Amino acid sequence: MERSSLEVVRGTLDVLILKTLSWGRMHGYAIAESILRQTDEALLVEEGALYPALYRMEAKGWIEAEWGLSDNNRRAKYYQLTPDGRRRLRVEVQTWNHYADAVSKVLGATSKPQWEKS
Amino acid sequence: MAANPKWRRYLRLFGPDLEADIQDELSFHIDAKTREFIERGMRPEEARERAARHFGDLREVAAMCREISEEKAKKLAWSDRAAEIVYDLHHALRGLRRAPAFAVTVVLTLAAGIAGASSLFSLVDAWILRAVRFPEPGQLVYMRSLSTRQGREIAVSMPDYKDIEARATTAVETKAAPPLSSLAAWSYETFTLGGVSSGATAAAAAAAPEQIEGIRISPNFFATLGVQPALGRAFLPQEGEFGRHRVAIVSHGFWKARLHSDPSALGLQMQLDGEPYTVIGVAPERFHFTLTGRANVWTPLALPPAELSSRQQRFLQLVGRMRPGVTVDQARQELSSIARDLAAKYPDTNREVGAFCITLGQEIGRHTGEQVVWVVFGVAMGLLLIACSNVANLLLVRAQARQRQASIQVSLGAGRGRLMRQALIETLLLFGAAACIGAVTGGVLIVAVTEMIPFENRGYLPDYGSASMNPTVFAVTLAVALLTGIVFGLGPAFESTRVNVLTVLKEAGSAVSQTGGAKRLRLALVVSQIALATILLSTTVVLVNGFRSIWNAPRGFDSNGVLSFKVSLNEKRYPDATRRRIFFETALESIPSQPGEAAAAVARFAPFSNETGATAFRLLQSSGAEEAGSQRLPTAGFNAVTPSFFSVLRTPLLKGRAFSASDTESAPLVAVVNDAFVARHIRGENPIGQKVQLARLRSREAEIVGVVAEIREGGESLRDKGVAQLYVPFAQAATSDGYVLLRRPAGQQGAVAAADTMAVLPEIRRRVAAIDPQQPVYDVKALDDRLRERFAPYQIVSGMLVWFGVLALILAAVGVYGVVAYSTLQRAREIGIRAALGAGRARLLRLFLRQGIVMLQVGMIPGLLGGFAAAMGLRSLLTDVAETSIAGPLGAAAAILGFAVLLATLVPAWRASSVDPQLAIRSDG
Repeated sequence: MERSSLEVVRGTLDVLILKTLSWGRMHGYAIAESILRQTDEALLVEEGALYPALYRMEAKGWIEAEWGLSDNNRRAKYYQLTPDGRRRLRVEVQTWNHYADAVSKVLGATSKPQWEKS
Repeated sequence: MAANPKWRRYLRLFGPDLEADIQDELSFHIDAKTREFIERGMRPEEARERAARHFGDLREVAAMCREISEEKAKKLAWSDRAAEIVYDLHHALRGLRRAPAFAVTVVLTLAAGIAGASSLFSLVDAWILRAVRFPEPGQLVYMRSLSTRQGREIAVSMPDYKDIEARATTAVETKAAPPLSSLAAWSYETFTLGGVSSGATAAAAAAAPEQIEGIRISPNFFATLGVQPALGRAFLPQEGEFGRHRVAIVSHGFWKARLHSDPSALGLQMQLDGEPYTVIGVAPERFHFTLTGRANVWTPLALPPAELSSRQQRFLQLVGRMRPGVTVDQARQELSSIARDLAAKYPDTNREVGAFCITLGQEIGRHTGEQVVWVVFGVAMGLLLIACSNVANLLLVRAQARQRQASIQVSLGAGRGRLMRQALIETLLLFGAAACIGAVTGGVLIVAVTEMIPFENRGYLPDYGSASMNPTVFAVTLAVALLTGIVFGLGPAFESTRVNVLTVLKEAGSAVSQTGGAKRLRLALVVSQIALATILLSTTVVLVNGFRSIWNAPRGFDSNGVLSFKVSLNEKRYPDATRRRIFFETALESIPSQPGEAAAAVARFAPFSNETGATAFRLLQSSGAEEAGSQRLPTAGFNAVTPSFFSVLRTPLLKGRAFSASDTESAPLVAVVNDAFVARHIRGENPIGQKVQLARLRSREAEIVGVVAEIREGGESLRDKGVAQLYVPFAQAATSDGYVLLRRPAGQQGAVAAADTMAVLPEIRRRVAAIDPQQPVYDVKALDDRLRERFAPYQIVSGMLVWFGVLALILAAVGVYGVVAYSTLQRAREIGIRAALGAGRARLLRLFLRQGIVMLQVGMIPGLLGGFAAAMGLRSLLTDVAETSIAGPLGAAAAILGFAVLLATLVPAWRASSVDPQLAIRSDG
């Protein structure tokens, strides 16, 4: 891509996919496009990471796959969340929020922490 | 991305096709991306190229995905899958138990086909394809000289061999590379084994003298074959010189039996023909040069200098190794040109002498009876074909019967894959059972066939005729059968899973399975079975008939109860004819004989002893101008016999007299001829009193005093008018070699067993030893056994052909029965209605009989044509088989098969017509 996009930080790809799939079943291409659009093309999901991640999550039982027909009548593999996946999504989102809070607290600090010297 | 090939989808029958799924998914992604780029205004090629680039390394991603999936699959509980398969297995077994006739028929039919084809192919493989078991067998050639005048092969003389070897193996500057890398010679030799001794133990030397088969070989013989002795060394070049030749290599068997597997046997002294030979080597255990039979001792070919230059003494056969890349044709051309040069150089001896050269494998094949083995193999393959088409038919019927059940299962939600797997498991069960039975039966068949071969004959088969089921061959045969199973068992099963459930159920089951195509296919299979069976059966009958005529032909003598053995007098101790005559006459006198019948006789050659004599002759008083016109003298068989020879063999005297005691050494030479001689050479005249000059007896003149019936040995004398034969009194032409023929004193009536014939042997040995203790008695056999050995190949082959023919007949009948039985089942209701409406049983039977006759006609006409062609081909191929009529056997085969087919038609029809019409009408098929 000509425009520089952020590559998805390792470890966050799973939660992005789970969240995307929470809107309904989708094939791999649609997942990647959806993430790209939602982030205003800021986050680029590489295919080289996307598909292995999908297979891994399928193996873990978070998502399940099924062959279906795409909009233009091609055979495509659709993924959807399993109940396990939904639970996982909740946990991951919580974890992420905690993490992001923590990181932004550090990054957003305006004065030097007091306890550093001791 | 290239579209997936269509056939790949069938792989999904065995579970999801992972690889293809990943490819599909990833290429879908790239295609979608490409479309997006195109929508943004790119040119298609550019869009595709960019989408691919954007994706990155497709293969690596696919590999990662596959790895993850495979791990997942591994984790999937094994017990789940196992339980599923066990269930299917139970299901299949239950299904087969409910159709025992189907299961048993399929298994036995297949087993018969597999056993026949795999065992025969194993024999072909062991005896023909792998006949030459030396390194680089394709390079080995067999060579002899060729009498271009007579058009037959003749042996090679020593000087010719030396010249040919020098020319064919060494490079000449003006010519291309020589065709051969080495050329070896051998000649048969019978040794009198006096005993084995080393310096320390001379005890063994006192053992009774024995005659053993040996081979004299040129020193490079083992090297040419590419074989190293297992112990010791091969001969050195200088050991081919006379005087330094008293060294010997012994076979592994000889080493084991006579030298007690003694590793220090090398250096032992062996008395051969009264001369000490040092054992210098032991051949490898599996070494077997089939052309020389059961030879046990090899000694260097070394001639005394006086005999070295005689080009007339032809007694050698040659085996050569071609250089890599040289073809047999090139070798033959080169050898022929050498022969032409020799003929120009030595016109007296080598005029009209060419070169005969074929591969060693071909030469061995000529001795094995290659053609006959191939023919039996062909019959076995035919049987396999019939078996396969039979099984195909049965599986088709089964698949159709299953269709209704399958459609219900599908409608209840059973996956097609699962249904397919059930069909597959059932087929595999049947084929597994058939494979087991077929393997065992085939193995037994191989053992049975090789056991039937007489000991002597086995010496001329690779590895002494031992053969076992070849796993590769078995696998190939099984694969052929399995292919049938998959095409005809799974194919229809696959189709049946596609059938619309509603149609099947609406049709109430009976009619739907009789789709036109399937019915036609089944009929075609049965018809081709009948055709094949006709061909097999008629070939079998023609061959067996021909073979029978060989061994049942009138022989001109009575072999039963006659013992024969050979004595070869030591030429040093019996240097002249008189001493030889006296030895044999004394031997005859000392052998007990019944009063009134001369029980023993001596002959230079015994019938069926694999040794025959011939002589050129000139009829002196014949007015035949044509004899004088041709420069060449005619030849006839030659034998020297004592007066009692004809009475011992019970060969009828047709005219004149047999020899008598008055035909002594000093009396005028007389001769007896056979009727074939009279028919061929003395047309219309009285043979008695004619004079004949015999080349073999230094052109002495003999007066013909009697005519006897022909003693017929082989196919040759059956085909032609017979083989002309001359006999002279043994007393007037005594030789050092002679056979003693001894008829067991007549006492009891009927046939005499070979064992009884042999019972007198110890007494004979004692009496011969009393005359000369150093003179061994050997080649001891009942004449019956000699005949048996000669005809064993024909009898074994006939036996096998009869079995295969009967099997083909049974299988064809079973096939017809199956089709008719099924169609009666299909038409049960129709039959019931007809019966209810008053159609008599005869009428109903006629209905089915007509169907049977149509099948018979359609199948048998091409079958008979094929059988006729095959029989004609066989007759020209198998020169040993006497002329036999073809029409008779073909008719017989057609009659037997026709009877079997009609019976197979009538039995199920009869059963169908005896069913209560009410029951038949109510049944839903």
